Amino acid sequence: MLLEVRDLTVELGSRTILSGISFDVEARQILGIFGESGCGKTTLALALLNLLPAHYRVRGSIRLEGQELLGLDERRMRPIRGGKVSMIFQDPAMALNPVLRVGRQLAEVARAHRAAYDAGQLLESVGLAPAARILKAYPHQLSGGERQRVTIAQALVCRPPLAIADEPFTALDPPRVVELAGLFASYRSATRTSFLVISHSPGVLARIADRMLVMRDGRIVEQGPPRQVFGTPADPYTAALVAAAEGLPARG
Amino acid sequence: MADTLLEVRGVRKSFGDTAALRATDLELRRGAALGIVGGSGSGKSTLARCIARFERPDAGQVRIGGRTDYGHTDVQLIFQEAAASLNPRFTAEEVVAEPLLIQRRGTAHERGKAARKWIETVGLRADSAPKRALSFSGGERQRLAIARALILEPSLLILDESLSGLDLLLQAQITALLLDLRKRLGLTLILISHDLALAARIGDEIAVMDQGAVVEWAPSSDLIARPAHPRSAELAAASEWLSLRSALA
Amino acid sequence: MKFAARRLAHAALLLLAVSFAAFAFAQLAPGDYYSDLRVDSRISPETLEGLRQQAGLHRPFLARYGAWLGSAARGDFGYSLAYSGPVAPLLKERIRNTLLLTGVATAVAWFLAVPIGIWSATRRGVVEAALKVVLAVLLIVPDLLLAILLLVFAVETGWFPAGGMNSPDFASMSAAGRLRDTAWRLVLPVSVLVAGMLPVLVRHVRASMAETLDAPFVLAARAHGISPSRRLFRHVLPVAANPLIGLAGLSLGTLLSASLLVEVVMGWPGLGPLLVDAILSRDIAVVLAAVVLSAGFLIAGNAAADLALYRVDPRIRAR
Repeated sequence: MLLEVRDLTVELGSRTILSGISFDVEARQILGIFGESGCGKTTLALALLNLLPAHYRVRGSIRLEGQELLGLDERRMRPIRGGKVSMIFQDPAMALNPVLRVGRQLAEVARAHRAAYDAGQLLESVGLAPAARILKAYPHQLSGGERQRVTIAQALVCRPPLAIADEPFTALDPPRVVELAGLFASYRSATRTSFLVISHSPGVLARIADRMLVMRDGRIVEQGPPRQVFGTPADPYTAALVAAAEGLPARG
Repeated sequence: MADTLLEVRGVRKSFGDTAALRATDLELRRGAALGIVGGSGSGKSTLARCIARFERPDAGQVRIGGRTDYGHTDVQLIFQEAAASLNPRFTAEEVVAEPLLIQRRGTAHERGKAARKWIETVGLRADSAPKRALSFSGGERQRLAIARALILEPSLLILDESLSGLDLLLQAQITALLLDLRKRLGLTLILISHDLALAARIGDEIAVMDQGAVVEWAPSSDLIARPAHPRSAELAAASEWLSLRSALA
Repeated sequence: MKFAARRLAHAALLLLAVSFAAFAFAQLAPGDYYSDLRVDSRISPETLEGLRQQAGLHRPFLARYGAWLGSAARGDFGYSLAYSGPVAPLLKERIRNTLLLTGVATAVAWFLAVPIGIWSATRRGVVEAALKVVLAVLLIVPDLLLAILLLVFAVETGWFPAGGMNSPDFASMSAAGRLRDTAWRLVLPVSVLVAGMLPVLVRHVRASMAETLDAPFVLAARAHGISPSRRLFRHVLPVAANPLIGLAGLSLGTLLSASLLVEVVMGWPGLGPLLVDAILSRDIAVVLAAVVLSAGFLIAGNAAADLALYRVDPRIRAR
């Protein structure tokens, strides 16, 4: 088992942001996390990388390839972040350093882990070509879609077994969403990377996720393959979501 | 009602070297609902802004109700992130009544009454009117933005990506609200979106835009079932792929 | 290149306008260089008028301004009635002394402000709060007051000289001795200037650092496993430096004007005392020259900042 999360609870002051979160991720799997704003999905992603600010109280267990991550200090977490589990942040425009070239930003990740990588091949694998132009460019010189893919490339420089994508589809047009979804699926097949994909679009998750979670108010209300979760929802919240999602497609 | 409310003839707009909008024609009957879809840079937002008088077209004319000298009481535009554009320190009543204040309509008492009426119309409780805007949820603030746009009783309401990026349940609720308002008030609607499915839900007809021009215009169901232009086909295919129903099939 | 030429032309026009405005303002004050002599009953009005004519003070405003412009173009920068000679040589040495003082003070201030600002942005706690209080106090205390206090301190303890740039036996010292002497005499006036500059600089550095540290790309860098020191120096600082470059340009720009009052109080033979004397005696040519030169520095400082920013920030280059 690649990732085992047991009873993860996150509290801030008197508020409980996550409560009793438990799930598994296997190798070469795409786990989808569906939730609306405020359900705690971004907090969950940050917790998995131990990136929550110090005043958050985190309890439970997060085991990555058998190693317990909770309680590790910064120094021991550093090789794991980007090396074993990496994160693709929500807004690519803000997640990239504005004054460094793309090539440099990729190199920084590799350098931090003393990893070797082939920049051209990496960019090609995320659908960016020609590599030369992209590597030399500054983030503001790229289109939104290209920036998105750069942040994905950054997360995959060291070929981590697990990558977490926080709402990667939100800023994209539907045709680009389809492309990006395809990218995750093909990457999963070609390499050994598992993806944890957070999205509030049920259609995308239904298409690419092997398993999924539905989160609400800091809890998991439903778990299983998309067909089961959306097809025969056990929880009324999930049922309401499905009804809303199916109300949207066109008439006729 | 078969009379024409909105007429757009030969409207063009460039920003520097970029032609954002090429000669565009449009016609909308009173009470109709139109969805305008396209990718980023297709010109859909520019068109909306030209109609709503936020931009001056380089050429062409826009007529509402037959007149070119229409104003904010004829057409209102709601932006994306409308909920974020409300002054959080205002009370709900102040937020919704503000357009009346700016237009100097009615006494303070009348403005308050109108505001409360519209707050109720969009599905919020009238007694929540004195609460500060920031104490409302995102969805409730979205409703306030709509109430505020409607208080001047415009004939045409344009929503520019106002529903994009909203949570699913909220999107469904606001969609239902808009359809209901349209039925009750005879409102003419234009929804601009990059999401074809959403536009089809609200609009009877859809105009697809690409690179500054309208490339296809058809009734919603026709467009989705049999898109003629490659751009429309691309959008329809993506929309289909992303729909939950087809994904589970 | 076109950009630079435009800026140059713009700067020249600005300087012209400044000189004209300064000249006009000087005219607003009643009287002229010889006005004080009127009090002396031994000098007849005719003699006074004769002196005035000789100095050309009777000519119309524009004619005199034109004459000054011509002199400036020739490099003389006007004729000083007090020193009976062209202004330019007077200024040379004074400017050198002022620049020495402000140059050292500015360098020290920045040298201290940057690390303090960075440190302050990354810490909370008692020490950081105390620092804020100290800086606030320094900000509030007027330069003049601080200068006087330090002078009193100098006189009482005898550790530092109470004014002046060189000791009486300066000329007979060795090179090393001269260096030490000047350095020793710089300590007090530099301290006053640094005390004035430091709070503002630290605040800007801290603000820029704090804002950058909050940015998503910094969290992203941490998420990629990049070490804190590398993040700070290679990822955060380059971005946080932008607003500070503009500030640095401004610092450069005020090199001539920042220390005038302190020089007068502490007896530093720079532009300050010269300017004050010239103002009081209405030696217009000297005043004009000093004002225009200060303005020139300010414009050059701004231009340097713009140029530096253009080279450093790729986003600005794109426009």
